[in-house]
Amino acid sequence: MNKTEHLTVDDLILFMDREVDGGSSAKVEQHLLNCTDCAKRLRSLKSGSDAYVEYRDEVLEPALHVPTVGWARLGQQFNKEKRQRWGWGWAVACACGLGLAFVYLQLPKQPNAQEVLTQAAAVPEQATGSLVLTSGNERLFRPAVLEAGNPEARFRHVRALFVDAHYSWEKPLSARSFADWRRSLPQKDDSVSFVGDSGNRKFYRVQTRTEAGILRSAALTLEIDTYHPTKAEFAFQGEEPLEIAEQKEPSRNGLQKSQTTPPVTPKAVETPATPDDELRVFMALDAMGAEAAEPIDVKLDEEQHSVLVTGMGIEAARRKEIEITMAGLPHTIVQLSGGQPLEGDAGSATAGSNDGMADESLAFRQSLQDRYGGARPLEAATDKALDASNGLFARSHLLFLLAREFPPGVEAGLTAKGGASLLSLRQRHVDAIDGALRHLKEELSPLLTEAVAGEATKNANWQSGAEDLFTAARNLDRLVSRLLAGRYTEEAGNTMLKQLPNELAKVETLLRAESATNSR
Amino acid sequence: MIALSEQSARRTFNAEEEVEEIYRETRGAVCAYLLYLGVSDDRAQEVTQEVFLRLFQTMRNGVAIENVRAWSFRVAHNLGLKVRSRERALRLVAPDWDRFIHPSDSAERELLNRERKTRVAAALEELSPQQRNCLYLRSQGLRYREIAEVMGISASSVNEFLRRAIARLAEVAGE
Repeated sequence: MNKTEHLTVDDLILFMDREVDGGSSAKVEQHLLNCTDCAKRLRSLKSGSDAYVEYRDEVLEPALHVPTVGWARLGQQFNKEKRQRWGWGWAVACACGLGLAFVYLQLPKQPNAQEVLTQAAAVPEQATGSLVLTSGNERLFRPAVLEAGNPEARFRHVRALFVDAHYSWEKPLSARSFADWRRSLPQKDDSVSFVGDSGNRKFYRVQTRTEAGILRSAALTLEIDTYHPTKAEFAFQGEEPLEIAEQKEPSRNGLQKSQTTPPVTPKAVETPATPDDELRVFMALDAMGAEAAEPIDVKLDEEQHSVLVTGMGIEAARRKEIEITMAGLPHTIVQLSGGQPLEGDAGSATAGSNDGMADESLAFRQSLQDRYGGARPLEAATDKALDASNGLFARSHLLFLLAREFPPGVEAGLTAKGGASLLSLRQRHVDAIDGALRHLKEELSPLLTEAVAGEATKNANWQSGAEDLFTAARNLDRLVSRLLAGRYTEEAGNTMLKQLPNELAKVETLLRAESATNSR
Repeated sequence: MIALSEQSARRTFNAEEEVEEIYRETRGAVCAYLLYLGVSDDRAQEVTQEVFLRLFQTMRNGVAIENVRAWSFRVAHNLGLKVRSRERALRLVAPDWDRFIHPSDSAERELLNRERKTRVAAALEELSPQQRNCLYLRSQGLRYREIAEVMGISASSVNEFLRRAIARLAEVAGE
């Protein structure tokens, strides 16, 4: 990215909304420092965003009359719900009540964050032992206390984050370090909660959230009896959540792990992965929804020891969801990275920075509105068309991956159950593509002239046509996105309108061929 | 068996404490969202409580919830749509900008300001309900993925909706 290649509106809004990862964000920031045009456009977008907040605060929410009084305590509802749940026996209800009372009496009254941290900071700290740092797929080990100095290369990035946040990297799992950082914040929001483990240990969990600085939230878990810190969780802006915990002896009971995601690490593989293993991955992806597969690739590694699930530009929550799902599958390694890829393909560039286009673009947009009978119908149809196009593209991608990974020879080697699953999965994709195409045509109908699909020819096998179908679906998706959501000259708009029926017809023809092959 | 009962009771106790705190912090925003969806004033409070009761049930059962705020909006969205379908459509509020005239503002500046706000309101009216919903949830601090989960659409659709909506608002706000 240099000064002559302006940022797209997409880049700017994702940057403004902090939806890009750290590396891409730094690139955008660097560009904005050097490019007054893009900086000006960013300010303009910010003004649009602010205008909405102004509307929400001054018009919308006052008109909603959100009640500030009359809120019942939920405790009554909890009790009612518990009575219903346990209504099968008075004796059981009593026992549970007694149990609750027992637990209540066992637990200390809730203090505030300042009290807990003051008490904890007064306790001598351990200077030995090791820590385990977990972030996404990575696990690193280090001593509990470090001398200041040059960090090892593998820690450089995370150390830089701590330094930037004014949080002690030398002693990250320490109540004093936490208290020092918290004290330095101009504005903060604290909470203290009780947590327990499967043994008999009780913990405080002190959490501080802030809008200031790069470290947006930190939480420290301390044993109630000793104030000994056992775990710290950090949420740095634009970074994967980071957890730092004591490295425990295998026999020692740790803090209950049910609230956290087990880190996904490559498994030692002794037996080769089979196509059936790979098929399980595809089925799991299918169960998660087609969009999961959009930026994801699935394949056997070169030695055929593992099924690799790779992808870039996947948002953290989605990544976690995929990792959790894949964690239970045999021979499967997940390697996903985050952030939104900034370098979109040329065809999907939906906005240029040339202000000279504005008038022409508006004129063309007006002509689109006329075809739909107004701005609102056009917007509604655009939303639906983009959704349908997105679904069509995602499903075609899945079908293509399936065809690539299960060519006829591999398909023949599947178990009977595997073969049936593959057929069923493929059919679901074909049906979904068909449905998405019908919706898309429906939404685009005011823009379409005669759309004549070519004559469908049967493919030699279902796999052979999948790549062409995917390519056609991708081209169609780019065209629809640009036409409905982009900014361009009137001439370019008219060209796209002419291309639209042909691109639709191409997909339809290839889909018919695919269906015909399926039905053999 | 005794240990299990105690563990379950402890979990219930912790869930109650945590949900009460979340409820105090988040109920206003969730209730506003329900009202925004078109749930009637007298039902919104009740549905809000239902959202947090479900949160309690979920947490008590030991289910980990990564982002409680986003989860609450998602449940509110689903409950709200069910209730709303029997009530009324999504709100779009006509602005009465005269309420916001400040005596210190010069007449000319106030006029320009009011015109800008009127253009913004008109532009919002032209946006689709989905775009407006994305804008509202974004303004509540939800990430794109979270908005997608609340609305049951893809994150890339959220991206598209927001990009076009913000670009449009920027056009009219800057005119």
